[in-house]
Amino acid sequence: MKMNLRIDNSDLRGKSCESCGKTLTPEDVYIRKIGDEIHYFCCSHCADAFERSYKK
Amino acid sequence: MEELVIIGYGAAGFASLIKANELGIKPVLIGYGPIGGTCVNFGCVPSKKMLNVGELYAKYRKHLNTDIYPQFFDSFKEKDDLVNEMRKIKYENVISSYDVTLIEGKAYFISQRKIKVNEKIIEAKKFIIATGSSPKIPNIKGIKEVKYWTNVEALNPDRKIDSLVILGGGPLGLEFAQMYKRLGVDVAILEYMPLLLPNWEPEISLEVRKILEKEGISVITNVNVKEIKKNGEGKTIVTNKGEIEADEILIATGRSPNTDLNLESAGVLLNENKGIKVDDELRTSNYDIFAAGDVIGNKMLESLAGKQGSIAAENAINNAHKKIDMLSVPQAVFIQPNVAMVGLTESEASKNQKIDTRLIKMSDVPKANILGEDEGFIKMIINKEDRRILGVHLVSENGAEVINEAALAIKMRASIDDIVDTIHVFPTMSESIRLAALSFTNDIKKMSCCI
Repeated sequence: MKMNLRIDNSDLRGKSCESCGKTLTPEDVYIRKIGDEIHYFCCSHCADAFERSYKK
Repeated sequence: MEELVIIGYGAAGFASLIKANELGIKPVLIGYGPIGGTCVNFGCVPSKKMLNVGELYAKYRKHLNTDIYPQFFDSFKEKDDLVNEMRKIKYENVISSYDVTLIEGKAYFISQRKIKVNEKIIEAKKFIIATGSSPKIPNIKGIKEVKYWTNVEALNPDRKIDSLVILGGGPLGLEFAQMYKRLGVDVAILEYMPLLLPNWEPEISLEVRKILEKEGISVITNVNVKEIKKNGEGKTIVTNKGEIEADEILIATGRSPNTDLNLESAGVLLNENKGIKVDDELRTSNYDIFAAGDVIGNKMLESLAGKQGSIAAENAINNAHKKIDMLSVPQAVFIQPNVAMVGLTESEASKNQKIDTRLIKMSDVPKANILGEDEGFIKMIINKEDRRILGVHLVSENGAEVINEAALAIKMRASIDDIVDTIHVFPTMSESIRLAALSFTNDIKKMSCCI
């Protein structure tokens, strides 16, 4: 049978960059593990900024 | 009394046998099931052969612009021929050239120094347990009533399927996803954690997801499977995010160490992974019993198992106090492009030292452009003070070959300067290691080839 996928696969829906607040899309997302948590950003610069403030 | 009993005749058990013979000891080797264990029969060898078939056809489709797929059962037949040949050459023929007493059967301990196999009691001075691992089956409602595949059935399918749902987004799940997709099967991966390859660098997880989705594989993360139901000839998977119907389900949620050996009577304790607890010399809580390979429940890798088998034998026979440098153990996922890593992740490395990292894209590596395979990247993590390489993580064509250089660099505690000073053949994918090292001091986008 053909696969029948009836599933909500929008993990990033409503998610925004945890540093600058920009809305994230699958094509435009950067993920970094900081501490023991996964954090979502729009770019590595935002991740760096978040990590700096996290460590303070 | 026997000098040495090795329980298990897979990669670790064979390595122990060979080392024991080198040291002048004739061991008793006990095992059950096909000789050679998981790797040659149901693991690395058949899965990489199937992936290679899929890779060839993917390249035909890409470069010839034609919609050509491998014949489903012909591909598995080709794999069977290879497995039979390699099992014969690498295990059956090999064992005949060593001095060993081979017993086929399931062994279990009856005391600190005695085992029982086929109703025969064997006493030995030393033991090495190398019994490997088996698929871990999650506790999901309906799973026992509905037949499912593990790696064994997925490598030996009883019928052609059109759709496959894979539970588990680890290395095994990803390899089978691409393997079946490239056989023309609809594939979905369900992963409980937020990311595929949860223990790898997050950038790797993200890149892998993009690559698989681009190929048409459905990836659903953060998903909790509630129930599995029979649905005519197929199956329905009920999750917290909705339902999926498919022909078959493949369980790829990890592997459990095979510790069903009545270990309590030998005083052998288990660790937090339900594997055999060992010290860094691979000695268990019983001074005369060692363990090697998947049964330890740590990193389950063929090459590591082989090394552990050899070290365990040397430590058991000569009390050699040998250890394995776990920092430099590389691992790879053989999807295309390959995914590979060695050393520490950024979050691990940054816990107790100042680090620096660089990430360069494969599109900046000349050979990747020559091959027309420029997806992926390489990330390098170094100690900021002494510039020694702490970790290398990559997604690249032939990445499983490239990572070996990084493993050697970490094993030798090399710095980025050592790598930059080493002339690499141009053009090669392993130049990416040198370019990553060079990127700590130079903008590689502004450099000509062979700098």
